[in-house]
Formats: sequence, C-alpha cells, structure tokens
Amino acid sequence: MNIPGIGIMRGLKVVLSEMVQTYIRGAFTVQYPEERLELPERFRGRLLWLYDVDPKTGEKVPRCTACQACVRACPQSVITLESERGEDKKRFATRFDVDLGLCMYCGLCVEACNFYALKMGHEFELATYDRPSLIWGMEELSYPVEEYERTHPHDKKPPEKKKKAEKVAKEAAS
Amino acid sequence: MDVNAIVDFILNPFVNLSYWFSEDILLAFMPAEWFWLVGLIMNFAVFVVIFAYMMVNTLYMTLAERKVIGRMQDRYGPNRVGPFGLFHPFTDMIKMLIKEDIVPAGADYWVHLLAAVLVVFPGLMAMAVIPFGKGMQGMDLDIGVLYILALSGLTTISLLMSGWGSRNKYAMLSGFRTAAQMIAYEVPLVLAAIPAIMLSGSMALNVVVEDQAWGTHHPVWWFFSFVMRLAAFVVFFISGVATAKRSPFDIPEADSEIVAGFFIEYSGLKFGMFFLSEYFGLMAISTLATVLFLGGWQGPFVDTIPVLSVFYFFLKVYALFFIFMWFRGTLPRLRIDQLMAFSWKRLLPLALALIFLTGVGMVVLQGLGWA
Amino acid sequence: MLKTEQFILNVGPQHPSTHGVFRMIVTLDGETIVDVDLVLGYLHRGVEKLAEGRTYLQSIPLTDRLDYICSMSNNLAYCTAVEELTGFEVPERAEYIRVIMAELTRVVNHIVCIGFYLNDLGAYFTPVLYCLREREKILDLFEAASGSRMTCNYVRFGGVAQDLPEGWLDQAREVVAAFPAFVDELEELLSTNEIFVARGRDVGVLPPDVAVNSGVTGPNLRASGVAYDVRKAHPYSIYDRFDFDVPVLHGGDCYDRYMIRILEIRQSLRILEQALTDIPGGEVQSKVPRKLRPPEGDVYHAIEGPKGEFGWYLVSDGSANPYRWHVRSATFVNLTVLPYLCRSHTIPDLIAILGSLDNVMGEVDR
Repeated sequence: MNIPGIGIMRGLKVVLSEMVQTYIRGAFTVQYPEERLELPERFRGRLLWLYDVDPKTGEKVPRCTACQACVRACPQSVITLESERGEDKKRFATRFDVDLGLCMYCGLCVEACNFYALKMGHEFELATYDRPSLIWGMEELSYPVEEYERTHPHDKKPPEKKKKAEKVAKEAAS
Repeated sequence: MDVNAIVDFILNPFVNLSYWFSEDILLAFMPAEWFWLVGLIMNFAVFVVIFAYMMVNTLYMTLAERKVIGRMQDRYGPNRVGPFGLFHPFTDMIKMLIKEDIVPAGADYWVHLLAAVLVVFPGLMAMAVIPFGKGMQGMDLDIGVLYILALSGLTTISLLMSGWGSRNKYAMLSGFRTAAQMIAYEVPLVLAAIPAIMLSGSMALNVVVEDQAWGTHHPVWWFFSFVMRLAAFVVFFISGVATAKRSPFDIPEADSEIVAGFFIEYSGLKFGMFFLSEYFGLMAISTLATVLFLGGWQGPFVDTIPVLSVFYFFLKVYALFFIFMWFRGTLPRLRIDQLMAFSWKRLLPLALALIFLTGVGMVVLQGLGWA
Repeated sequence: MLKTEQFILNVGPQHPSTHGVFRMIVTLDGETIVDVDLVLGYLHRGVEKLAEGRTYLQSIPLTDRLDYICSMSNNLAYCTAVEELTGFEVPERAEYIRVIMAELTRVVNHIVCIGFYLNDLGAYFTPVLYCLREREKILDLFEAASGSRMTCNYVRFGGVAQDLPEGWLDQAREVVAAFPAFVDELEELLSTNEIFVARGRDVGVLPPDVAVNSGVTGPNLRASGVAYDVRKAHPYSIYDRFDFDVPVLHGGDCYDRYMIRILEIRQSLRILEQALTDIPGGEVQSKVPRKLRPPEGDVYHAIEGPKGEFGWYLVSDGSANPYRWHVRSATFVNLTVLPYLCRSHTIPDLIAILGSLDNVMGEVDR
C-alpha cells in the first residue's frame, strides 16, 4: 500500500460527490407504493380477454372464437378452453381459465391469437393468500376493448372495412 | 429574578446544574456525618448521565449510519418509521429484545454468555475520563490516556471468548483473525498517542486539552505542536479504524465471506451487546482522538460562553464519525496478511519516526527558548 | 508433539458471496487452502429435458431463465442455432436490432459482475448500487421493446418478435451517450484504489495454457493473454461490419479480469454507437412457418455471450420437438478451473476469485 494513498482519496471523493448530489437533485429511489413509475406500453402484465360492446344492445361480445391457438402455444399449458357451437354456426367459449400462478408471462399466447382477443395488460399486483384463487375465469379476465386501446394506442385492431377493401384491391390486381 | 444570574446559568448549564444539585440539594439536606455519601451520589449521577447519553447516542448513530450510507449509495436510508425514520432505532431495539436466545448445542455456555457480557464494559468505562466540555469530566485521572488505552486491550479477550465459545468454524477463524488484528494495531495506536502526551507534558486529559489553546505557548511551539499532532492524528485514526474493526479493516466481521464472523451464533440481546460494543468502541476512539489531537473542546469564544465548548467537542466527534461511515461506504476490505503487513511495516515505523521527530523538535525549541 | 490438522470448511449453499446456490467443500490448513471441491446442481431445473417436451418456439422462454442476467443474449444464441439448422434468413433491420440488444446485454452483464465482485471484496454495497442504477436505464430500454426487464423473450427465429416502439432509438442513443461518463466514474472509484489493487494483483493467476486446456472462454480467457473472441474467430450475424477491438491483457489475475470487463464495456459502447446510427428500416421477421419442423440433422452453434462461449447443440429428428437440446454454458466450464486457481490462497482470496470468474448458477446448473 502506498503511503500517499491517492487512489483511496479519489474513491472517497467520488462517493462524497454522489452523496452531495442526492441532496441537490434527489435520490434515485422511487418510493413505492406512494410513487410509481409509468409502465411502458408493451409491459407484459396479466392476461386480458377482450370484449367489444355492441353499440345497439349494449351487451358484451367477446372477441374470442375458441380456436385453441393460445392453448397450443402456451409452454406451460396454463390455459383451459372449452367451447360450443352457437346457432349461427360460430364457436364461442364457455370456459376460459388461466392459472395466473403458473403462467410465466412470456406472451406466446398473445402472439398466437389471430383475432386480437387475448392481450396483456399492465396489472402485476396479483398476490393473494391462497393458490386456487389465482385461477381466473372468463368474468375476471374480461376487459373492454376501449380501455385497452386507450392505454395501448399502438396496438389497435385494423378495422374490418379496410381489410375487405385490401382484399378486393388484391383480387382486382391479380 | 436577576437576569444576569439566569444568563450566567445558561451560559454554562451543565456545570451549574451539577453544582446546584450537589450543593443546594444534597449538601443542604444531608446530615453532617454523611457528607462522604454526597461524593458517591454525585459520581453515580454522572455515571447515569454518561450512560444514558451513550445509549441514546448509539441508538441514533445506528440510524445515522444507515441514512448516511444510504445517501452515499444514491438512495434514502430508513424513512418509514416516524418522520425521516427517527423512531426506527426503537423498533430495532424492540426487535432485538424479543428475539429468541439460541445457544448452539455443543457450545461452552458460560464462555458464550460471558463474552457477550464483558464486551460492553471497556467502551463504557473509557468515557469516564473524557472531558466533554470546559470543566465537565467524569473523573480527573492523572493517567487518563493510559487508562483508556489499557481498556482497549480488554476487548480482545471477550472477542476470543466469543469465537471459541460458539463452536463454529467460521467464528473460530474470525476469533483468531481478530486477536491477531487487535494486537497488531494496538501498538501503533499507543505509539501515536505518545507525541500528544509529550507535547502536553501530562497524561491527564484535561491538561492535554487546555494545553492546545492558542495562548498557552509561544506561537512557533503552537505551530510545531499543530503539525505534529496532525501527523500523529492520521496514524492514530487509521489504527483506531482497525481497532474498532470497521471498514477497511473489518476482517473479523467480514460479512461477505464468513457471514458475521465472531458473532455468528449470537441472537437477541447478546447480539445487541456486540452491536453496542462496536459503537462504544467507535465513540471511545473518536473522543480520544478529538481530545488528544484536535483540541478537544477548544474553539473560538469558549471562555466567555462555556457551553460552546460542548458544542465544539461534539462537532468534532461527529465529524470523525462521519469519516468512519465514509470509509465504510467506500473501501473494500484488506486481506488479513495485507492488514498485518500494513501495520507492522508501515504504521509502526511511522509512529516511531513521529515520536523521534517530536522529541527532537521539543528539545530544539526549548533550547531556543520558544516554549 | 505439536502437530497441525487440516480441517474442512463448508462454504455452503447459503452464503452471501457464492452468486447463487453453490457449495464448495474447502480443505484448509490453517488459513491456506489445500483443495476445493465443487458441489453443483442446487439450481438444477431439468431445462434440457423440459425442452424435449416442447416445440422449438415454446423453448425460447426457457432460454431466458438460464443465465438470467443476460436473457437477450441467450435468446440470440438459441435462435441463431435453430436458424443454422433450418436455414432461415434474417432481414437487415432485425440483424441490427439483435446486435444492439446483444451488446446492451453485454454491458449489463459486465457492470453487474463488477458491482458484485466489489461486494464480495467488502465495499459495503456502494459500487453495486451505482452499477444497478445504470443497469436500470438499460432495463428500461428492454422493457420498452419487449415488455419485460429480465426474461425478455424477444428474439425469434428469422428476426425479432416485434419492431421497436417509436422513440426507442432516441432513448437508446441518450443512454449510450451518457454511459462513458459512468464508466469513467467507476474507474475513478476503483481502478487506482490501492486496497482494490492489492486484493486483485497476483491473486488467482490463470496461465494461458491451463486456460485453453480447461476450456475457459470469454473475458477470463482474454485476461490471460489468449485473443479468442467468437465474434472475430467465427463471425455470426453482422459483426464483421462493425469496427471494434478485442481487448487482451496478460496478467491473468483478478485485477486483470476486472480491467478487461471495463475495456469490453467501452468496446461494446463503440459497437452500439455504430449500430444505432446505421440501423436501416424494413421488416423485422422473415416468414417462418407456424409449425416448425426442422430437417433431420444436428448443429452446434455458439455466440460470444457476455460470460464466454455460449452455444447450443441441437439434434433434430424431423418432428416438432427437438430430440436433444443441449446447452454449452460458459460458466459451467469456467468453474472447473476454480480448484486450480485457489491452491495456496486464503479464504478471502477464494471469494475474490469466485467473484472475478463471474458465475450465475442458472446457467451452470440449468
């Protein structure tokens, strides 16, 4: 060890200047839960099962078509989906359970869904006192589309008319 | 009510309070043949005051350390319990008191227990001779410095006992390291205190403090004494950091290698005793360094307003505390052989050289008549 | 007759400095180490077997959790291995995004390693918190791009999962521009500190021949004098387009292993500046079939991960699940050299050497 100890002095100076800085510009800490950070748009929180609201009747119309793509995509087999065929020959889901305690929030199911029906939101404070209450069903997972598009402005479903117009234009071109 | 009397009282409250208590209360109501008891009661009262101060000081120093180190690390320290975390030490104390007292199965029970009991006393006993202000000293010993330095040797025994009595290889390793470190660093500590004693001509701490005032000696002598004391202060402080087992010399409790070292098997109140002893040791080193080298309670206007002496004293002591915390927050720790090499090969020759220089300088200056 | 005895100390699975659950049985003669016996496997989760029951795409989240500090790098290694097996092309923009993410991961890994190395040496958590503060800024970038800070799951076969959000490139350029000042501050705090140098010099010297024979790769190898970097030796992705040096030091001790990580951070910042200015537009994933059935065959492909050569050995039998999915993790091989390094040192040196080797048990035990 050198008697001058100049390297140690430099280290001490760095730490002291950092300490003085915390009094001038505040510390780096965010005092949770009183202060919270703003989450980015793509944050992978809990799953959302989106539903439209029918403008005429006001009832909830889930977007899910029970195609089982999310069930096949999940690495942990977390989603349970049972379905029936309705009068208009369209399938709809009668049971959609997600075990949020087993889920690893990877987002592969969201990527697999073609119908913009399954998305991930910003909620992460899901702790409970017993495990079975972490299995959420259709009612708890349901989420209105307007709310989702308000918080995720870059992830909107393109409107149907535009898709049809593109299809017509493609057929005319070929 | 005489305004002058009140102002006089307030200018030196502690000394006047003790006079009022001993003369106006005890001596007035005590029968004549029991006057000897008054001295005993006054000593006991001083002990209670010092003990209470040390306890409260330790409690709040733990909080201050955590907050200061927190600020150095760009975060707040504890700030949830009470405003700015000011009630936090009480929750710490309650937690420590209600924990279960676990003694390992094969451990030597009495050694384990007595180590925890004995470790607290040296630091507390050292505070008896420190002058906290002008005319405020627990006991005026002629050999004050020797007394304190002798006490610092007592801690080594209790640490070895705790390392041995815990029946744990980590604790034993740490006990051996502690013994080696304490022995190695007590020598420069004692030797660095010698220039201050030589310059003041006495080991009584009150005399040492009063000798550092501006007017007592020739100005050349004062500057020479200032430079010598500062150099000796550096050596004393580094040895003091090692004696107090603080970073960068905290091998005994290297908690990232041997997980709390010699107090690994202690819980609850016994752990609290070790914790207290660490802060008592810090206090002893800081106050001794202030008294011997930094001028104790000296400062501007101390003659006219004696209560300022207390203020200056504690300012200097807490500045030294801040430097301890600063070191702890910044520096990695030395390895045991590097620690030993540093003490025996660097600090010891330096301390001896300082004694030599001080002696030569004193003789030269006294010969020139500039004493 | 006085005699001494060797005793056995368990630096056990629960220890503040073993960077995870990892047990060393140390035989001591006084304070000197005679032998170190490593006991691994406390974090074994059976990842390689789990991957055999899943499709190739479903195994990408498993790769995140191997070396959990550098998840983007792990994703990249796996996806490049599968692309070599299947022959998928990767568009330009995706290549640039992958390189940016990989170099950001390298910076994150090195500052975490340096911070925790200092924690092992005893600097009471201060350098750790400075390093973690800077890491937060990079993790914010990861979160904005992929949705998660540590288990990113972002790189896919044939590209990346989604394009970067708007404003990401500007935010990244700000972070990269402010970073050299932080590295300078860290060097000011550490590189000339006498205590730090004394703890690191001539401690755990790794000679180059022992390193090469043991299979050590990464910064540990380059600190011993062997200039082997997979980015230059077997270039993958578009690394041959960037102008960067591979730092090499010749001491082989703990201080050199620290210094080389500082130098590599600076080189990574160079690559990042170039990549962030040259990134083109375009799409970010080529057409990949939903049900991926690679042709039969096997492939071994490795990248220069932050800890060393990190690769995958994949054997495919033509079906949707891999037949064999083996991870060549860098730290598992690096740790085998620990008993050699620790001989005739003391316990504090053991902790320092372990800290400088930079191990994360997630990738050792898989």
